[in-house]
Amino acid sequence: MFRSLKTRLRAIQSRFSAQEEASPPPDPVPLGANLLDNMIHLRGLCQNSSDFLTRQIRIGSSTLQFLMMEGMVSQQTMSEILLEPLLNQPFSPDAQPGEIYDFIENRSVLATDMKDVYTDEEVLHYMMSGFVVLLMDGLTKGIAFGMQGYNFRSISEPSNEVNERGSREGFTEPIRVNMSMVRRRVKSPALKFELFTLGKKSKTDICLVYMTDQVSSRLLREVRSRLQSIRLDMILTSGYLQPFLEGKPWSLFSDVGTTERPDVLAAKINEGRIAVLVDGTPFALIVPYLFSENFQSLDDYAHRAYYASFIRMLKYISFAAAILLPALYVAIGSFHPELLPHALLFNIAAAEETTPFPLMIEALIIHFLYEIMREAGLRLPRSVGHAVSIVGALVIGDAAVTAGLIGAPMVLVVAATAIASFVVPSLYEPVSVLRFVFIILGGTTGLYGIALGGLYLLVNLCSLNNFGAVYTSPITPLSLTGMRDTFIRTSFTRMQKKNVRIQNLPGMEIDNSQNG
Amino acid sequence: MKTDTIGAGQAVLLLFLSRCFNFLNYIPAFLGRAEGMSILTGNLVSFLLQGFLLIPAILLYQRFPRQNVLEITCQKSRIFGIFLAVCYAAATLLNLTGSLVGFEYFITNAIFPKSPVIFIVISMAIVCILCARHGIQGIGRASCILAVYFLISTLFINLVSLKSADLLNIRPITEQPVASIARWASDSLAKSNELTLFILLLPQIRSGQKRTAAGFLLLSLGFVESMIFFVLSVLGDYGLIQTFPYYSLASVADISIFQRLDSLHMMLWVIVAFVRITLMAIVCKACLQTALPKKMHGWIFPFILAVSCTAAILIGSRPEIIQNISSTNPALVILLSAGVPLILLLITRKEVSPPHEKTIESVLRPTADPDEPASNRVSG
Repeated sequence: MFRSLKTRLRAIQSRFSAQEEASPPPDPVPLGANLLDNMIHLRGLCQNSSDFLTRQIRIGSSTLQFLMMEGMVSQQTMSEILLEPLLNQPFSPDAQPGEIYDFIENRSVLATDMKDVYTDEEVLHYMMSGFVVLLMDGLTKGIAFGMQGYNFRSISEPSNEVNERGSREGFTEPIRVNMSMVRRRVKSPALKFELFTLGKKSKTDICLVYMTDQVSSRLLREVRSRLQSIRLDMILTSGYLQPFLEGKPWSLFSDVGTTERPDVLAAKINEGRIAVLVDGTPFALIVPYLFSENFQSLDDYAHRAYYASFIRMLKYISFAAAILLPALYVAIGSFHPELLPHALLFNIAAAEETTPFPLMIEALIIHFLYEIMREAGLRLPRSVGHAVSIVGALVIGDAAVTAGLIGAPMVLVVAATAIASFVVPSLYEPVSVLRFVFIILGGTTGLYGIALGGLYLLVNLCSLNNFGAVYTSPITPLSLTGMRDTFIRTSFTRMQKKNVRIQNLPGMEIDNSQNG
Repeated sequence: MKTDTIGAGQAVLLLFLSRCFNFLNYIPAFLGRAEGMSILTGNLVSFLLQGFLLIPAILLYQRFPRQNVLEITCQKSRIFGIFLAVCYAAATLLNLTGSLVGFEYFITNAIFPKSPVIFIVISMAIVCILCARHGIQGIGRASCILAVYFLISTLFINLVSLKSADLLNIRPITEQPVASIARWASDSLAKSNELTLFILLLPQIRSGQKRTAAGFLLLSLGFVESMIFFVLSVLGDYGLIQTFPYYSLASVADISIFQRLDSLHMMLWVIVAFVRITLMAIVCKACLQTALPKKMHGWIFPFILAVSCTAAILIGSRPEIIQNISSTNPALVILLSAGVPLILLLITRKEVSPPHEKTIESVLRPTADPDEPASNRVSG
């Protein structure tokens, strides 16, 4: 039955892909020697769009056409660095286009970022990336000058990865600014940026960042291959690429990491990982990513080792509490009261005596309300968001208990769970879903159900193996070297003895050969 | 080349946790009255025998690296290979069903007396089969974390109950010492289905097969002996008449905020039963894959699920059936874990070792250049 269903699905899929292939994008057209023809062709391609700007000048007997997109180019830079030197250059009255081209190409530094362009596709790509493209009558090629002058959000403190003692710089939207932030931190020739575009229509700039002396060539090939397989029209954030880099996109836990801090990215690539920067997104993707990395933060390396270790342990306990605390409360209260001392049991029983719902329903309702309020507080303007929080706290914390709808211990459990779930923000998504699942398991089958659910979750986690990297390493398979920075953070004097590379952890199927 | 492989440590822990299920599932009432020392000595003898039983399999593996008994048999005779694969699959499926029944018997007797058998059996079987679908690597890696939890929890329960221990509860052997020890040794051996699992898993262990065998046997011996010691010293003869002695030990233990520790014990049960059933499902699937054509491989797990659940539900109220099959038949374990490898060892005794195995001679002898004329080569 499943086989025939699969066959039919495949047939439908192939029909769609065949339709897609029936209208391939037009091939790039080489630039012609006639400037007017080139201009008509390029304007036609842009549908005579309003932001398509041109500026024509004459030098000697040659006609020069500057093409740009409105708002993408710095006008001041263009006139100071490009136009002024060009117009002030004493060309002969009968200067030919070739002579002017030779001057720009070989005898001047009109812009640091200059590229030769040969096709209409290249011209449009560079124009739309904030370049000024120069075409000349009589030449079948042009020159693109990097003079980006568009407005963007300035570098600011990351909102999701706040720290006490580290840098306050976070990634911003333009990819080149992000690249420069990484370069400033890693002044090594081994740091390599690999730029290319993805998205059939958006032509988004994507940049692979890695250390050539650390990365595995097999991993690099695999990442390139997965990115090249993307056939999306638009790539607007790094989230569009994430499912293509994940080993099991349907898994609750993502084996692709994200960061908005250049210093974190620098540390990760020095361990043999690869980062992916996406133009327009202040978040970098990191592959391969391990489960234990969710519990690490830059502050761990700023604090003293004992305190960092204490915080690390606190995070692991909080993660477990965020998933299991309400479920355990429901399970023990409903099925295993014998676990509790009599005094505590009597207190809980007294509090729950007046409530009309069973513990499981109570827990589900209150967590559901909490998730609604959290989502509302997140999307609303900040001032209204605070109001929502206050109303929520009053309704749930006070009114519901006073009205006898919910027991006071349950409010305490929910509050503790909510706070615990924010300790590891990168795992909030799986935590919030799993919490509901475990409440249902605990409320229907007690500790037995929680144990079964926990085991299933554990095996799922242990099975994640993206790019040959075991997600649960270095906990299992155990690596003592890797464990120096997992549950505890040892001192730098100990850590500097051996540099951990992702491919050297046990169980990893990434080869050790480096990209030369 | 097998890609779905696990490390030696993972294999040891998988087999160890599986063996622990047998200990927790141990119902001494089925074997009648016995002295503490005869149980301890009987176990020691059983583990020594198990060590000997694994020798043919390890020797066979050294002769045919990266192949298990089924693959070697299939090379000799495809039909006999299929027959053997079906036998091993049936034995594994029987043990799997027995484990399901044992688990269900414990839950419905000790934890949730009113819960329906069908729910316990199906919920456990589905979770195990779902996890088995991830392959041996997933459960292998998980076993490391589970073993740590298991050992810490048992240590916790033991330490808490230590205050009630009395060494006088372990009675010396007074009558028919040899028969008594033999009876317990035979019973312990009959429960050692992990030996069969080990010989089938051999090619999937990346390295250190001998270390794996030794590690598993020593760890299991140490654990089982210490647990029997704790149960007998704390509960005495009362433990021997209990259906689940270790559960009774956990029930009487209490510490500060925890009134009783039997719920903690239930978690241990779930863990070891889960590991055992998942491991057996994986091994059973591997056996059936050898016997069945490729297009049927997708149906193996549903088949295992259906057969084991149906059988477990049918015999759920009469666990003595499975208990009798497994406890009185060490012959099956001996045949599958030592008999078959020994026969294959004898059949293939004239076959040379594979060329990649290095010997002192092969290392010292210069490699012959294939382009060099034969007349120039030094003979001998």
